[in-house]
Amino acid sequence: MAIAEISPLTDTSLNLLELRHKRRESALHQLVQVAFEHQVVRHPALLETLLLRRERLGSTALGHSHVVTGAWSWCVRSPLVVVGLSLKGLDWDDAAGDGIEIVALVLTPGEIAEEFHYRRMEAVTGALRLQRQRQRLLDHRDLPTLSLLLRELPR
Amino acid sequence: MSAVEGFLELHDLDVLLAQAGDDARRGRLRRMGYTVGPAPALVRERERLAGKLDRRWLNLYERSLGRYGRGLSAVRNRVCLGCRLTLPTSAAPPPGEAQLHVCEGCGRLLLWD
Repeated sequence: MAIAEISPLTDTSLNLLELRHKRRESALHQLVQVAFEHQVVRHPALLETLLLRRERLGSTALGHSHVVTGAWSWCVRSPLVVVGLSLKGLDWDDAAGDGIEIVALVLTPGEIAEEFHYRRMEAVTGALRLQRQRQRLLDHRDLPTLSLLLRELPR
Repeated sequence: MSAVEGFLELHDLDVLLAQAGDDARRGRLRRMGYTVGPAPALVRERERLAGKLDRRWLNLYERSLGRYGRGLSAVRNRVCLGCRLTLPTSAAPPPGEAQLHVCEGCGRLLLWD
């Protein structure tokens, strides 16, 4: 009997896109808009304000060309992780200053426990911490690779 | 900015303030690699925003925030997700309108989906 691994193609809690712009504000806008188009976000402008305020408190760039930002908010209807990839590299306020290639936006609805949001953030930061994991995503740039990378993500 | 959006923003500020003021949460964020910024800037921003909001709703919000740790709750299928009370049909705002309401069960401000 052959056993095949079936990729979770119907997984609606993940999304992958190419970031068109170089600025941080534009990248966040694009990520939030995608979430809004998927009817995951209630007040997109408000969510953008929240994310930019979070950046002002301290950059969410974790070094080594990736950013993991997120919101546990009533502006969010259902859990979603949107990952944006940039070919040119984004201008983010990162200590290394080497240009950001991967931005992950972790959205968790306000009605779910805060602990669940922290566990999701930890799963995403953990998955993107290793260079070879990030490189695999940058090489393949597809949803099955992202699903595999974030298989530990609580959904 | 509508009253509903004002309270949503206030709630998000309160979440950030709670993160900045709690050692356990800060420690957890640090372990993930984040730096958590200073709270005074947030406090100022909260005061500025609270000054713009209706005093009557703000009192209700802050009372629930003090009691439950959260001043807002969502409503889904007429059920308050904070206390699970089924709300009367008459409590629902007209379709397409965002209005503030108070849950009769727990007193939180309600966000109708």
